[in-house]
Amino acid sequence: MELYSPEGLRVDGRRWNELRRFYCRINTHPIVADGSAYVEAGNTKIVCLLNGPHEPTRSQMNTQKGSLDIKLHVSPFSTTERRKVTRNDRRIQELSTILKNTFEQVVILKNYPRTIIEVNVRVLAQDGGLLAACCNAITLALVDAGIALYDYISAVSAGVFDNQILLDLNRLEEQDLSSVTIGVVGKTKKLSLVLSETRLPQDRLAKVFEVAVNGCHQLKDQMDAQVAKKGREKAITEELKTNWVQ
Amino acid sequence: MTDRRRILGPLDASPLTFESESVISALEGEASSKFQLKKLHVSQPSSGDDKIFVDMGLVTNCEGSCYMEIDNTLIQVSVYGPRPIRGSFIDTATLSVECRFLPFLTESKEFANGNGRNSLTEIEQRLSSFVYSCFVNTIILSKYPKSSIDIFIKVISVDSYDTNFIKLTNYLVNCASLSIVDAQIEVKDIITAGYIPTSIVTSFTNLHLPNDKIVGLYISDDTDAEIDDEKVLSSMIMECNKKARDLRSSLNKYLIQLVK
Amino acid sequence: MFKITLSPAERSYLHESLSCLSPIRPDARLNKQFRPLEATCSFLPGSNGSARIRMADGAECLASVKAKVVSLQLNNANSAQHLKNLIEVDLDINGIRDDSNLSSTIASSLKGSLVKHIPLEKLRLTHRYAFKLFIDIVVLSHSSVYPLTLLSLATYMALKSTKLPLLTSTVNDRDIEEQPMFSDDWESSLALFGDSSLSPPLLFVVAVVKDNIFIDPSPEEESVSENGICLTYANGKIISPLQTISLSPKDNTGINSAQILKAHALVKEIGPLVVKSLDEIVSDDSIKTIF
Repeated sequence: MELYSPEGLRVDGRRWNELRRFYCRINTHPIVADGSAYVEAGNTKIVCLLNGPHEPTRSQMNTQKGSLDIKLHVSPFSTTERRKVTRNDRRIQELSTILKNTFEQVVILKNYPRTIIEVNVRVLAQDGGLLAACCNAITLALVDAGIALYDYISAVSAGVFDNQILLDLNRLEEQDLSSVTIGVVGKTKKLSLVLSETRLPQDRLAKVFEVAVNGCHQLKDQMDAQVAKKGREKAITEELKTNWVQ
Repeated sequence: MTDRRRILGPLDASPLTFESESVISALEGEASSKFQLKKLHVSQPSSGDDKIFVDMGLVTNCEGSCYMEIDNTLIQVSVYGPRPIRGSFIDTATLSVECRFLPFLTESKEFANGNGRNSLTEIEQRLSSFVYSCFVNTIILSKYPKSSIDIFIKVISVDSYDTNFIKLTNYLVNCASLSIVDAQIEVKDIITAGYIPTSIVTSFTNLHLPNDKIVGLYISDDTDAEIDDEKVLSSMIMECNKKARDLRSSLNKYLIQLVK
Repeated sequence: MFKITLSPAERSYLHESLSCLSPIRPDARLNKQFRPLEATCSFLPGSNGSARIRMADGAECLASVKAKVVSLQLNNANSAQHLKNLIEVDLDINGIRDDSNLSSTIASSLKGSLVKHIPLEKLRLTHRYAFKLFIDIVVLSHSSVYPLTLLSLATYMALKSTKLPLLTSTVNDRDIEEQPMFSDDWESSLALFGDSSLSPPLLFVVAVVKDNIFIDPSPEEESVSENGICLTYANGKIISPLQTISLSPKDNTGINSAQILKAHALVKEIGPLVVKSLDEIVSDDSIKTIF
């Protein structure tokens, strides 16, 4: 299969610097969770439910700062070939730890001593860019829960095909190309997350990062727009409520 | 320096002595005669086909136990409790039921998956939860705050490996009921179960309550009966009720005999 | 997961109002009325059928049906058993271990009711090959003690929306072994329950309080109920399995056969209505995102 045609088109018809369709919603589960988000990046679909900050069991108590607990659940039907993943699967545990380490830097945990923030990330469908999508979903859920953050973390993957850099890889591309997933703090160029599980040519690295950071900024704008939209909706309903009371 | 007295025992402890041979043999003789007395057969007069052998109190380190033999089906139930629980206060006792097939019952791996396993198989879970749902209605749990009652069921041998174990479910309830009696735990009434071979088990209490009450009903999925028809359904329940009632009367006889 | 703890006074009040001659439920529903629920179908591109159901109290469940081609090792003696194995049910309830009593009893009762009502002959591709259906159910959150109704509604919709690709290679491979080939055109796929006389079963858990039967009990209602009954409904009929379920360990009493018959009549009455409204959602294929 041709991953990048001479005309400059990828398998799914995108150009090299184009993101997949990004669709996100926040506050999808207002009753059962304190913060919730749903993220679709192409065919990767993620639901994130967040509960907290609330009182932890005694063993998890930290008097200095809040603790963050991220659990990643991969549904058995999320892959093309059904595969049941056990909870203590190595890769899943590794990804959860990476996510935890990333978000411990961005959540202002010193504001929440003696509490725990529990995040459950549920993967419904996988089509590449799993870690990036999880990252975006968690950010949105944290925002929805009103938890203090230094800034958004938006994440995307990028890869190298011959000399061409490709942004936001799908599963087919991810299998064959060397790639890296990065997470960016807000609209800055600070990286909070870098994960590469393949070999990446060093001379391309700077260029890859530049493209990916650009992609992250685009995603940040989209996430921000969704949050602002939800905020406006909420403001309107609040206003209606107060008017009605008067 | 640590206190070793707990390990070594007090200084003035007297050593363990054994009774003379004659006393031991006398005790053994007494025990065996008692055992003989307790061997009673409970038979179901009307159904005829089920001859049940019952023995209560065989297991000594639990509060109550019952051993049952029906042809080649052997069941042993032991009841532990009410025993205190640790932790916060709860105003009623918690009941737990665990049913296990012994590991050497390897007729089919589905039912008993060998030695050294921790979790119950699907069928064991289902049997446990049925017995639980019957007894949670009958034991007066509010009499035992901050305690737990645990029922352990061991299936030693099974006659027929039909997928739904209708017959077995029925015996489990009856056996557990007797061991609860043996443990002298307060119940609303003694429950007994009746079944129709292919499809249905019900458990009834029928003495002190105004009507016969059903505390558990299970119609398995491989029945061919048209339970869509209300009349069929109610006649099935009636039939089970009758069987349970018959068994109850013979159990009553047995228990009275035991007291005498 | 909510913990409902009612004070003795609240419990008594609720129990009284539910056991009236014309019962009053806390949310003013009729005894045969469901809480509002929202549902979507076919939103997972990687599955043959999928559905999501959310109840008004936030209880939510996702179901996916995936088909995989397996080769049949047929020896005539237990071919029926083999066909039974073509369906696998897997349950994941958030916060509950997979091998816990609750999830394994629910999974086994779901599977038991499904096996008889899925057109197994449609899964059979050729003499040697067949589709195996993997039904995966994920409960994101639940409030009920025994969330079987929720699961069963989601499974029903997922199965109803299940489509299988059209077989293009030969059906008869008795003599020469041949890998089955399928049509690439998803438009020509066949619905699993397309023209079948069968329909997936629905399992209803009803709560019994005195002489009244309540469909879709809320957690509060469950906690004061005397007993619960689980009934199975398919093709306009009440079918087996039928069983009692203890919904609350407190002041539970037994039930009598009149109450069982009443529950039987109630489910028979509402069954067609539930089926109709679920089918409407399944046939409306305009929405393809969940949220």
